[in-house]
Amino acid sequence: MMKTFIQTWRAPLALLGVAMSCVGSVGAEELAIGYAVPSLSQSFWISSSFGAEDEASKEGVKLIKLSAGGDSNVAQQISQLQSLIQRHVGAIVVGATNGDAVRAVVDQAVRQGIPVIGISSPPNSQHLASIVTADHYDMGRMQAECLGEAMQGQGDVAMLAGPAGQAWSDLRAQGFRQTLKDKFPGINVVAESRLADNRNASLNTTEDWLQRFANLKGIYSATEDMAAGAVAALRASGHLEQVKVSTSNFSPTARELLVNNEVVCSSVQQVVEQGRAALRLAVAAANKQTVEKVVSLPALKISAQDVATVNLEQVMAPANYVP
Amino acid sequence: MTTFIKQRSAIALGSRIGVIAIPLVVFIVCVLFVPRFLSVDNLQNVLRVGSILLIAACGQAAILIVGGIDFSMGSAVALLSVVTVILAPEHGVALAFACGMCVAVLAGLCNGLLIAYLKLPAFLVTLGMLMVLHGLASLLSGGMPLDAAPSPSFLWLGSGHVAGIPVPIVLAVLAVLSLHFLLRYTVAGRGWFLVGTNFNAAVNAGLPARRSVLLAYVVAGLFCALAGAILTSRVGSGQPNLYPDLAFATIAVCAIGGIPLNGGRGSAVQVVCGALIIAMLNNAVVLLNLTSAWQQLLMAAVIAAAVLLPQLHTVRRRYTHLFKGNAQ
Amino acid sequence: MKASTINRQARFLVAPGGLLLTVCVAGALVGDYASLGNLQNIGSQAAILALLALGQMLVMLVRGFDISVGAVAACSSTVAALTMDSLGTSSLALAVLAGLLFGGLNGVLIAYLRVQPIVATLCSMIAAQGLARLISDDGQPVVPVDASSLADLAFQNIAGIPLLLVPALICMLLVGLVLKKFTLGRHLFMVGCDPQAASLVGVDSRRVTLIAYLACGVFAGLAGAVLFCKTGTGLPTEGVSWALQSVAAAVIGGTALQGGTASVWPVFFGVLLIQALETALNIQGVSPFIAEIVMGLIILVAGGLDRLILRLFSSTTPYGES
Repeated sequence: MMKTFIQTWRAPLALLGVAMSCVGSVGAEELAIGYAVPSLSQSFWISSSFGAEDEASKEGVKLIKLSAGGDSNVAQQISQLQSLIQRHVGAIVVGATNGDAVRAVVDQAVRQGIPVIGISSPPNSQHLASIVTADHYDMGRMQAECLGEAMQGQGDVAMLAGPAGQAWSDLRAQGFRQTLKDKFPGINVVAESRLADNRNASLNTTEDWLQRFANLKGIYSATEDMAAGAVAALRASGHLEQVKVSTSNFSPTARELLVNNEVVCSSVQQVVEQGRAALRLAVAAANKQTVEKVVSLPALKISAQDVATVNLEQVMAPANYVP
Repeated sequence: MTTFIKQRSAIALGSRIGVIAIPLVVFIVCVLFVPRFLSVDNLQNVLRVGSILLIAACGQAAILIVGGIDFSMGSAVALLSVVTVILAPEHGVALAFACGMCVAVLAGLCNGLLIAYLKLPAFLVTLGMLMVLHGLASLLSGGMPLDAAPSPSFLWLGSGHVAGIPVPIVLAVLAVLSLHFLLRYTVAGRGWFLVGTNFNAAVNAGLPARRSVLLAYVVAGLFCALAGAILTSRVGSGQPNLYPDLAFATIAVCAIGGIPLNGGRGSAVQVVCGALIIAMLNNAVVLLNLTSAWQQLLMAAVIAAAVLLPQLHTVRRRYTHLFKGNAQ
Repeated sequence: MKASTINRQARFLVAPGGLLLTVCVAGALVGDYASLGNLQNIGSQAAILALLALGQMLVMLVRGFDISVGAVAACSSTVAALTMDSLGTSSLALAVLAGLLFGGLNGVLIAYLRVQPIVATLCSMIAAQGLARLISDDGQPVVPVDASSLADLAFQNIAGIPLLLVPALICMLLVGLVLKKFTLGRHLFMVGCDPQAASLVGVDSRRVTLIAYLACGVFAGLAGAVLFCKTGTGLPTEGVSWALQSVAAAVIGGTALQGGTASVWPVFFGVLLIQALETALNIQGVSPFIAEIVMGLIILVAGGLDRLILRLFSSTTPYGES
């Protein structure tokens, strides 16, 4: 019965469908801000998107969160930015997968009257309305300082440096290496992994490193998830006392590691605060107000002793937040 | 006639030796050229890491034999870990792991039902499941990795010992033995070979072909659940990106071991050989302290060699007749 | 007559039908969706995947698989970026050449050395990733000095069609022509249906398979060139998920996994369908995790749509349907 109905009327039904779609739906009236980040599986971006979302609900704007699904998914991010342009959002906050690669589409957005704010890993465009910076080089430098002290200036260090070709991981690694060379010449970097970028892979790599390098005394990790993997390997093989670990980012994982003295320190950005700042700038820019060009929030070094005193609200999203 | 039979059995023996020879060759090369490879600790590490891959590959092998494929293993394992870590604090470790493993088996069951009974193509179904399960795991965990309290009972599966042997290795041996038993000595398992060779012919011959396929996916779900439980225990965390490449790794293991992707053939020995090769290779590239570029190039070269070497004698046979005329 | 045509063609109606349905539903629910600007957007977003899926279709036609397409595209874009400063626009041709080389490697391994497609292309995928890292200082994106104008140009439209999509459209026209009018096309179908039978009637199935993989490599290289134009940088670590997406698009477009059946334009609609869905979800602003679940469910279901079309539109039940 249904089949015969559809069969007889298939042409008019199709035309009706097309007509309906062209009429379109009722457009949203409230201001919409786009928020495009590389991935939502790292505490860094999740915390900053919490800051942005919280601020958005306070200001009464709709936040459209888009994740490229991976640090290297550049083409996906460009498509997502194109979609945001198509939706005629008021402004876009961009944490770029690669600053150079998204420049063209960001310029296109600006040409169409949509202001763009860069956050933490900004696009390399001359036409950004503002930048909220995270100093990744500084985070690497802080790790070098506390790890070098904990190692007492001697020994071998291996680096879990994170994915290659991403500004955040590259700058942290640079800061670490340079500071080690300047301040702790007695420490050698014997190995660097750019392929082990999650907890499981870091665990396996650390196990192998423990076999290979007898004089391994320290491990640098770009994120706290990698540090947790390294610590698990050290704990299982009984090397926790002998090898010191430093990390970046803050999350419940990082807090546990610090409290248990399994990492010597974590260098963090006030990411939640950055998200808030980015959103405020975006709303102001969307309303055609002037905004300051650069907003820079300093990095913090958190060690086991500081954990109890630091204001976690600015650094970490609440435990039950789901983007 | 007798020469023909001798030739055939020689080739069969050669190919069986060939399958075991390759991991032996890789082992010897590693012992010779890779620093610190041949130590008890390192070999234990290799076997422990390889066990997880081996158990999951047993599941993939069952699916490949029956003519299907499964891309969703990585996400099933991730969802298992998230469920387990969420439930562990309140309901105890054992129950949490049991629930997590049930989730993975359910995923396998869903795959099997959609593929065998709704006759959807395996490729699209498991690809879709990959995304659905990953999204679910992300939703449950809020995107971030969750930590399990490092209690000894939680970590037992991954780091514990049974009579001095690490638990993952014991479980891997049991898994391989059960796969071998299933494939050789049970009617259901032997039916998989028939169904994988030609589904329609199997149906016409009266085999319960659809049920066979469903069973293969459920069994694979069980293997995947076991592998996931060991992995979760070893890493001590539940996260959506626990082991995203697991499906590809298991397919690589099976393919290197010689199991064809269009079904109908396979054995537990082949899975073991493939898993050993990959595990040793992963260990070797880190011990050699190669940069990531050379790590990948070396892996590609070794995989190519491992697959081409058994082919050499057939390729030579196939091409000499071009030059010699009608050699037989 | 009409019933059997619909039976045979049902698998090729899935993609266009799905696309139409998506545009209608999304157009009704999401603001500003069914406008020309958005459709042009979707076209330019789909440019890379269209080339990859086209190559994948050719390879699946001869009973194969190519999971190296994403890595080859990334490597090609890196090659183009590295040579841009010295060679100018002919660096794009080098990118295509890189793709051709990898396609040739795949073809020789699979057709002449009898390696399984999945292993051979897995090997070349890892090799392409390694090579890309090697030539790019361990995975750093390569930024040529004067590529910025190229990227700005890339987002323009020509006669209403996005410029980025033009290479894909030209390739599809060529492939469609070859498949329909040239003997090579006929041979591709023959080898896909039954390689032994094809050999018996004098078709060199090894050479035909090699040509299919060469073409797939060329299209992957071209996709890398398009990627380079779109971004103005060489991206050595991109494309990890593109292989599976291209196979999915080809299968949704009616290509049979076991070979022997394929058609060019439904594959294009399959690519557009996937991209249209993603764009709809992105514009609507649903939570990224829910968007992923929805995409997964749709891909899951897409495999059964051809039989749904049969049930809805065919006036007789096909023989053998259970």
